[in-house]
Amino acid sequence: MSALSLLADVRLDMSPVDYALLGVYFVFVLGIGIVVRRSVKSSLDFFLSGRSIPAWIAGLAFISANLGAVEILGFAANGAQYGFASVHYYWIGAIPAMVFLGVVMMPFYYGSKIRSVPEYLKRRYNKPTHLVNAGSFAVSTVLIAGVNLYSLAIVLEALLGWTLPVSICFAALLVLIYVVAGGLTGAIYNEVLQFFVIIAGLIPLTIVAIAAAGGPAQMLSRLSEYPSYWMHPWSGTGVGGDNPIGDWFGIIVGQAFVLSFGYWTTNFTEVQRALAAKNMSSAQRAPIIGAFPKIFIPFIVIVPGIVAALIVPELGKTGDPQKTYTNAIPVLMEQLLPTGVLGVAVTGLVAAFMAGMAANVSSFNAVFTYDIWQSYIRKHKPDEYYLKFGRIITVLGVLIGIGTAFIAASYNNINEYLQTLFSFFQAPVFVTFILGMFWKKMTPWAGFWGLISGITTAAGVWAAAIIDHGLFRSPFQQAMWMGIAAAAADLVVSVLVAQRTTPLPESALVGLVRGMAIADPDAPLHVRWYKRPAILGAGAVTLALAMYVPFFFI
Amino acid sequence: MSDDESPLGAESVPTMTMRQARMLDLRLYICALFTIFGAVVTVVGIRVTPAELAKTSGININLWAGLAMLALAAVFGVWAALIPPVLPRAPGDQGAGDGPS
Repeated sequence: MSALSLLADVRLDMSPVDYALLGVYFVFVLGIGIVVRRSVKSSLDFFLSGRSIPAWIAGLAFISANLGAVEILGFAANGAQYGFASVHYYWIGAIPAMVFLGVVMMPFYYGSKIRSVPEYLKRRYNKPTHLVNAGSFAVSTVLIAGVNLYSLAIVLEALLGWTLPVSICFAALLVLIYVVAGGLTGAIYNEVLQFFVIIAGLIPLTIVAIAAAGGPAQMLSRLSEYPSYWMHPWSGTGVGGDNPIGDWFGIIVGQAFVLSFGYWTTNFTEVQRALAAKNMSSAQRAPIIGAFPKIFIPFIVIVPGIVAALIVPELGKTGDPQKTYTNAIPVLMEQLLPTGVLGVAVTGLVAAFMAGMAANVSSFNAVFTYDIWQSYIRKHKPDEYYLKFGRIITVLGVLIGIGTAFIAASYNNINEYLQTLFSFFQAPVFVTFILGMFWKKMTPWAGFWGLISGITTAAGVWAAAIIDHGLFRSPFQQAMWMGIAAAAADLVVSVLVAQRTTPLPESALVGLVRGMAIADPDAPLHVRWYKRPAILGAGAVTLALAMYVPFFFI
Repeated sequence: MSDDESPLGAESVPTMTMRQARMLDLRLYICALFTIFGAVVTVVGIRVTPAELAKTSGININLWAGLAMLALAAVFGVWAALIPPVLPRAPGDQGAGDGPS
């Protein structure tokens, strides 16, 4: 992430037409925020769009909230550095996790009418468990919003030539206006708009980039000069192998099952988009609808990164601050895109940063208002109070984000420290949710101590890797095994404590645990096959795994 | 879309007019944005220069991207025209009573 700061060194040759496209987009963003404001009448409207969003919008917002510029630039960088080896994050990580959320977990989330993911822990476990999760989420999300803001300001600085403070404040003001006015609906509408703009920018870039590498056949044949994992994602994943992403067990269990499932199914910034859906069926389908386009994102993110490595061979190899891996996409934009599509691509990148920050802010304000303020500090106030408080805390959140952005600007490493710290809290949380949803005898204190042991184990693995640098092949492999260790510790401690403490009475578990689901009175009697989450989900997972097949034949 | 509607919805009164619902219809915003983007980029593509073609290995990328964006705008426009938004209704089962109001 520190490499983001170096973006400032790529100056794009923008013409008035390109600026005009960017300007049109800003007008739309603000306009949507202001129009949507009318639909915000209660705190539930503000924080969860009044549970009124159609499935396709919730689904696209679901992936768009994550498809921020950090992911776009980051995975293009991975493509430039490791080739196709980085596709696992999508096909075996994100897709199955999104399907699992829709098919298995969403009935508990949506059916119990919780308003946030931490709120599930409050009802299923106890206040200490809730506070650990809500507190770490609120702190990490508002700080990451600041990091996103900083990255956005870097892009604006590079493009418009504004100074960093002006860029930070301008970007923050835009996001502030449409989130304060339109709440989650404002954020979601702009995320969907951003999704189409970034796609409209990246597809032409990919086409032109492949052509510049001599066409698809020429591109693939040139890849044979690289280590075999560039072409074959599973190559070198055995014991003692050379695949820098990791070993096969770490990829399947650590990356996919622990880290991806944990992120996509328990990170409120994501789940919030599905909770905003208008009914149970839409909430279940939202992440699965998002999974289908997500399968194809590697082709417009990782592939341009790979092509950048081919046609700009010095990328990442010299100390040149313009030619870092993270700059793969901006460098291609500079070299290959003419006025017109350049404006679209730049707008897409700026939009991606803005949407990423708005997604953080709109989930932070919900958790802070519902899970901290309403739960522990000011209970039993009228709903208008929490709506007003939500707007105030949004302003405050953006101000903290601005502060974080300035700190990030002077101490670059702080981003990496923050990411590491938050990964400790994220690593074990999936186990705690799954035990809560599927095991009636799981007790409140088992939830708490399981979570705490997982967090400390994650920190322990990190410390061990600091002491012994040779312990892991790469930061990727370290993250996978940290996740595995944290999940295992959480599981063992949870089971041990559960046997020695009292579970909640069954009456308290209604809607929260398997076998005690609340029947949905609104559920339609007849559901067409293409609206059934299990069928759609099976289709998405099959398609994602089928994506690996061609790599075995080339 | 019709089978998504709650069975309670049939009897209750819509909470907004069709005009207001259109204002909140995201499909129209997508249609409008890509009509503008598509038109601008297509025009740039029609007036392509040899220098631009050299940059893109001979592909008139602006023309193709512009037409594709106009097609996307058309898809959303036709969709919004054929299937109007469902008016939200107020049966009081939207979970608005979740908070201790």
